[in-house]
Amino acid sequence: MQIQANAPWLLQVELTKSEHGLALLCESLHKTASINFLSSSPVQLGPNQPVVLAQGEAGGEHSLTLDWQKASMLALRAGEYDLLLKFSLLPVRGKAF
Amino acid sequence: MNTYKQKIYKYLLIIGSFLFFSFNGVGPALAGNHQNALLKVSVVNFRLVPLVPEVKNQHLTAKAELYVEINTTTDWTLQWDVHSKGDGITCLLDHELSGHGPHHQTIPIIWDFDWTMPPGDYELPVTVTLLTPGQARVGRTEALNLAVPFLAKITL
Repeated sequence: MQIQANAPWLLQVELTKSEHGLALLCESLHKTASINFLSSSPVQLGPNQPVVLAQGEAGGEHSLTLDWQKASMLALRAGEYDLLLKFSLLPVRGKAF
Repeated sequence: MNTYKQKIYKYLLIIGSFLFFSFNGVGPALAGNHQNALLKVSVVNFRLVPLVPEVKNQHLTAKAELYVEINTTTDWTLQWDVHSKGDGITCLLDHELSGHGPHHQTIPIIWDFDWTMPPGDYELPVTVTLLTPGQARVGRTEALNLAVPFLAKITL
């Protein structure tokens, strides 16, 4: 993903829909130097639990590639499972207007 | 009797002093009110167009208006000056307008700025001046405000 912002930002992600309560593990595969990924190990993401993944400075030169894996050890039947991820950019400081 | 005259004199002195100091203050105040009546300016602050801007273009646009009311029976010239610092401020009208008699004028002002402009409250002073023959210049300075929000975009 590419990120543009006019002020320092935080990237928040939330698993808003997850069949069978499936959790995910997220880690950074590649990022530009301008991005600070907040965890050095994979981040676990449960349903409806917003997690702040990264932060960056103002500007438009930010690039981030994320890797997603199934977290739980649930035995899943073959098939398709719907997952919905909601990404938000939040201002680091000051009022959000 | 002498005491009675002294009392009258004292009262006259007090009344005279009161009138003297009152009129010294009232004169300029009346003149000021007259000038205020000649030119009235009200503003509508900048708002983003559209109200929820998209970071598609590199530029964002905000619009504001000055509402000017001229109350005179003579010829007049209206001038306005936007105190910008080269931040892409444009006026859709010329900076001067002439006419005769009472008049209402709307002056639209557009602020075209880069989307990387940091969030915050910005203020743009605008001076409006009315010139009428044989009378002093009447000027008003008003501040047009612009609130730049936090703007961000994710492209997948």
